[in-house]
Amino acid sequence: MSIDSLETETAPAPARRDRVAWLARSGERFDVPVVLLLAGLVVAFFPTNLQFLATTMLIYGLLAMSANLIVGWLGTMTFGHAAFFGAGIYFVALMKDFHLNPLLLVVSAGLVGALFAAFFCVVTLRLSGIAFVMMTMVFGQVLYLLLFTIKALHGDDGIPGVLPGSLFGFNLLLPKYFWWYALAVVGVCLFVMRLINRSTFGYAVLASRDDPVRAAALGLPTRSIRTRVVVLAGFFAGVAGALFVQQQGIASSDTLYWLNSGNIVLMCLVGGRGHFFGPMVGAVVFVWLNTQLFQGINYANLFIGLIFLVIVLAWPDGLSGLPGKTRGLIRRLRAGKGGRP
Amino acid sequence: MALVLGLASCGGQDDNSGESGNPITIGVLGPISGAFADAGLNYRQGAQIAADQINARGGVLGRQLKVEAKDTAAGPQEASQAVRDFVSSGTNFLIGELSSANCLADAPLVDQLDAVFITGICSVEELTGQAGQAAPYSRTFRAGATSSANIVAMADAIGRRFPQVTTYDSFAFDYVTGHLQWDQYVQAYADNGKPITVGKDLWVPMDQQNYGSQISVLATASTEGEHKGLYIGTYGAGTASFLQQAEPYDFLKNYEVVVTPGGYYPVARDLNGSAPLVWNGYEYNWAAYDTPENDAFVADFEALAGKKPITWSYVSYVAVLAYAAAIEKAGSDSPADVAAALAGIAFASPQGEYLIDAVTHNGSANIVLMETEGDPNDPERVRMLETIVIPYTDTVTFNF
Amino acid sequence: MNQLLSAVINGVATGVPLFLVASGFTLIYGVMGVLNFAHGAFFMFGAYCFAVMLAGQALSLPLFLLYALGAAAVIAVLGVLSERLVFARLYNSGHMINLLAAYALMLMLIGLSILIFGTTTYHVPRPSPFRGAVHIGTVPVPAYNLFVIAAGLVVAAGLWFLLNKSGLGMKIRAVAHDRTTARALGVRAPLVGMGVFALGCALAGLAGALDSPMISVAQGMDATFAIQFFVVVIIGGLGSTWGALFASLLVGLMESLLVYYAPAWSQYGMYILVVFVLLLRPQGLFVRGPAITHS
Repeated sequence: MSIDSLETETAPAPARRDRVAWLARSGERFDVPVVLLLAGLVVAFFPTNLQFLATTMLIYGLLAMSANLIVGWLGTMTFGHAAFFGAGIYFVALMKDFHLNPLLLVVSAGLVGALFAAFFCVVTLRLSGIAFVMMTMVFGQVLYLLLFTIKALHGDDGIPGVLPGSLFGFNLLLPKYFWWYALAVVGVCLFVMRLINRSTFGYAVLASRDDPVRAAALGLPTRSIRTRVVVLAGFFAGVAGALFVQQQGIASSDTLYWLNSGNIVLMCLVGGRGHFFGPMVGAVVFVWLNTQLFQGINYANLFIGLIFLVIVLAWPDGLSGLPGKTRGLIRRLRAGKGGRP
Repeated sequence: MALVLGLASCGGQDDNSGESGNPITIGVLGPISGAFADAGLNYRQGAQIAADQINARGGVLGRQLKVEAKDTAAGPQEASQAVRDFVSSGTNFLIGELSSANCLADAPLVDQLDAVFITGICSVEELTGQAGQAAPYSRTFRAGATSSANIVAMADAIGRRFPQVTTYDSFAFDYVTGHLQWDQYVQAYADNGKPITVGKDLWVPMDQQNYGSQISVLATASTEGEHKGLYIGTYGAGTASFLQQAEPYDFLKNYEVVVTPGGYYPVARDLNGSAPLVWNGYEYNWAAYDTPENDAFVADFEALAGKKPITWSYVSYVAVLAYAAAIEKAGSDSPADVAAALAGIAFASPQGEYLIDAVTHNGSANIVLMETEGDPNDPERVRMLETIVIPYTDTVTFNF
Repeated sequence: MNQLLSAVINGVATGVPLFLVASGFTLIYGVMGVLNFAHGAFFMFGAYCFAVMLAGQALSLPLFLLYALGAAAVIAVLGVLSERLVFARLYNSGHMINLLAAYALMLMLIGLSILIFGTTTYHVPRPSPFRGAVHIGTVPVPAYNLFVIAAGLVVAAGLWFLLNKSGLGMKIRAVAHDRTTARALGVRAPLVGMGVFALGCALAGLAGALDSPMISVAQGMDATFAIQFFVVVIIGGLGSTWGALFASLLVGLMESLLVYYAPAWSQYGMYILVVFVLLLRPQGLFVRGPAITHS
């Protein structure tokens, strides 16, 4: 499904090949839990401020992955994805006084995000291309403005005092517990995305992205495919929003600003929208660059921009294309030396 | 994976304070980048002046003070990460912040993480105790004025100076604090028994700078009726744009008084001599106090920054003085002890003796009302025409 | 009646500066297929350069214009550098890569502006003949606004003339329509591309310079206009100069009228317009045929 699977492999002996193939398939099916478990164990040994940072990166990673359903799978830009994120954030913030189960809130927030996405799709059913992209921006900005118009949402003051509560007796206020909680939620979401990615539906999405004319000619319902993908994206973004406000403790209006939506797309592009984990990588890099690496320099944007520029010029497929490119490079070097690749 | 390991290596140890001889670090939270980078700069400079002066006198408990800053311009998420990073690297004494959202994110966190936070600019009431009530956060203190105190003091003083002005037009940012402050201003007049009528009240969105339409309306409104005042509820670039766009209409002279709360002085300075005659109420200006402490502060600040100090510089300066006094009083640098010492502390400051209330955690911030006008020949490009200090003790008697 | 007249004049006075900014953006997209996300940053840079050149003095009109064109020239050079170093390599890489590049460029320009110009706000005085207001009927209008309107119309006319009546314009339109065939016919597309980028950025810089007496020249000013000119080029149609002018005026008028008659809706006006246009005529009001998608 992803671009790296297009590389041809050398062929070992038949029996070994079966075992290798089985391992590879299982590896691919279970890569989400394995990778996340490894990450989880590593972060568990970090000091609390870095655990908090890692959690933030993870949540933005989920958000970017959800946006990638639109940017990568559908192949179209979106400048309003922060709206679905914000829907999840504010839903959970408004529920803060009911002290509901955190998982219940997460799922409900996802449904709220999906609902907003569904509404958006209904409005934009007949649009495509730049018009569709523009509408995403309008949608996002209108929701942002509503935060100020609707007094109950408190505009730029935001809604503070959102407590995550506790789960199975663990107080989620502590970063070390929250990390595992977020990891589990994100893990389930990514696993589901993986399954969809490899299902018939997933193939249909890619087909209609790669060649919409042929897909339509073959009878694929491109409009309903787009709707379903956007609704899914809205769901996962809502989940990310719930996690975000549970971690941060405050719902603030700047998360819905359109530049934030732009940042989310950037995470997808920097990490690589053609690779499954690409957006996650992009989110980690993005958060790290913005909050850590150049913290304290007032012209930090100069360096951050420069780094992005280098990435876009050298690795336009994104950072997660690096392993593939390095393998390719090594192979070419070996071939150049006269050996078989 | 390499990235993850890299993060782990730059983690830093948890809390290593308590070693004598090591400097005590004050962490400044504020905007270093973005539209309010100037505020953050003034925070750092004010704090640095205090640290330098204290270090010259031998430091605190024999240890030197150090000032470090982190950028929180991006919002509450960046702010809470900055607080965590500070605490993890052993810096438990924090000051600063500009926006309410950031302060509201920082205050509960500081309680959780065994740190202390002194803010001077965040105007949101809920950070400290109001009307004599106990402070909601045990580790957050306010070395500054609340927004209500500022507004009500302004209304009181302006009302007395201009008793004939009974109608106001207003031009303000359409945000929570903007509406709150305008309502409080109007209410204060009513509470004083001299209610004002509202002529035209115009609200503009915050992230927009084109006020042509609104200014036209205001220009016409300014000629309607007599003895009118104008309340400007924008700040920063918004106020600057408003004044620049209003200039050709020359309608401000139709108002008997033009008032604006908050950090107006730097805006007037940036207008390079063309600022109109405006009455501004905030917490400090360099001409407000004729004390040796203030003279020293102003002189040192000008030597460092090349400009006179403003409210942003002053509140940071006071916050560091507060920490120094509290650490000395507590005799230790443990955050719990320092917080306990801050409650009810008294120390010398440019305005005289400064007190932080033990119950409410509010500082005895005066309100300074200043009349300024642009002057291209002044080194600051602004002439300070008159300064009225409304002492803190007066402000607490107001009803809010 | 007075109110209506005032609202209309203010709408036009708001719309024309917007057109100045949007014209460069739509030109670059129309010819190069690049959505120059960094356009707002070029605008800001132009305003900063101009502010520094003036150093707070109120100039005579000829000097004012000269300096403004000077600022535009500086930004044109910046634009050429950006095009050569960045966009020329990404011409065939598709929308998204170009978007990422433009965004990176925007960040670099913002960082550079803080490094060079610092964090203070700059004040630009109006040129001496235009400091007050004139009266159209009983409605006061700042004289400088009328000057900007005139300048905007001159720019619009000049662009139209350039694109439609000159030899260079013909080459530009050829490259916009079909780059490969144009090259086959001898048009030096890379040079045209560079020229168009320079012109587009020069327009942004000029807009920044001319707008600067009316707004605060400070960090963040790039973002305040960004969404507005995106909206304007969508409504007008990507690539159409007259569309940009018409749409700018429309947006300015809409906002101005709302401020007078329904202030609570004034921020939403722009978006309401966009939604209408997108649902009824998604390619924009001045563009024939389906929405342009550059391959």
